[in-house]
Amino acid sequence: MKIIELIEQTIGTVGSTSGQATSINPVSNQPSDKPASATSPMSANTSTNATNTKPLDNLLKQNQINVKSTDDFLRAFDAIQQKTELSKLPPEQQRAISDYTKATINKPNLPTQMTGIMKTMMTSKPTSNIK
Amino acid sequence: MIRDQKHLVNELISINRNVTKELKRKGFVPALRNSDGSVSVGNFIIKKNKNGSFFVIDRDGDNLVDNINLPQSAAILANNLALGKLTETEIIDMDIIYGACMFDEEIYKQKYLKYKDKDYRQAELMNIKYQVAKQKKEFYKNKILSGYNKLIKIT
Repeated sequence: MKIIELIEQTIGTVGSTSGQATSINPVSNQPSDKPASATSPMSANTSTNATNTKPLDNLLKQNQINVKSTDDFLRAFDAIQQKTELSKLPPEQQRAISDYTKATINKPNLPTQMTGIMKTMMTSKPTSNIK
Repeated sequence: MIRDQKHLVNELISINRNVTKELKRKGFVPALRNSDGSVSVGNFIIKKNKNGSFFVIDRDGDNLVDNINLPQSAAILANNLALGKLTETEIIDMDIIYGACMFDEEIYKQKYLKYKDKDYRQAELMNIKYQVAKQKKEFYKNKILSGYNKLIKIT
């Protein structure tokens, strides 16, 4: 068996992120004020470390994206990436996405700024953990 | 007869070691499929989240990188880590941008469909943003895939 076949069979087809997977870190789309049974990997990364989410928190505030907590926005982000319909999101998350859309019209470089912050949030963990 | 078989097994082990060494020298660490469906690359394991994204853990089970969107990004990252290239995070950056573009593409697409029959101006704006996000996403996906293909070509 070729190595590419092995990788594809095990972790998915080239270019695809869809498909059934084993449950390792189940994603919860519950708003932050409700008890969540589990957190998404990204929110697990961020909610445990308040300093991690602070830049994103500030960016959301600066751009008048109203969210109860940054985790709500991150959960909405995860859900949208999984192609969840906007109308099926909790109202808080729908409002946050609506505000984000409005903000990107006035400020086209907002997604770039947000990506930069997410990069920091994601890459700060491995560098400190790699042995 | 048994002695011949033992000799043959030892020869195969030796060949396997040499091939692994040679591949590693060229920049590829062979991947192994585990019984739980994950993939081991050296001391690092690629696992899949319920939401379809991937994460890389080390031998101790410590989560190194979460929410990797493309399996190819996870494979490249795990390969780099297994080669000891701990600071090469360019692939993570590209994958995050890909994920953000995927998010933008989806929201603008849904907004476009919402405004299509109601507000022409808004619909047009959302359509432009949708197309831009889509193209950007494809650009980063192709960049990641070309890196992955280079890696596969080594084998």
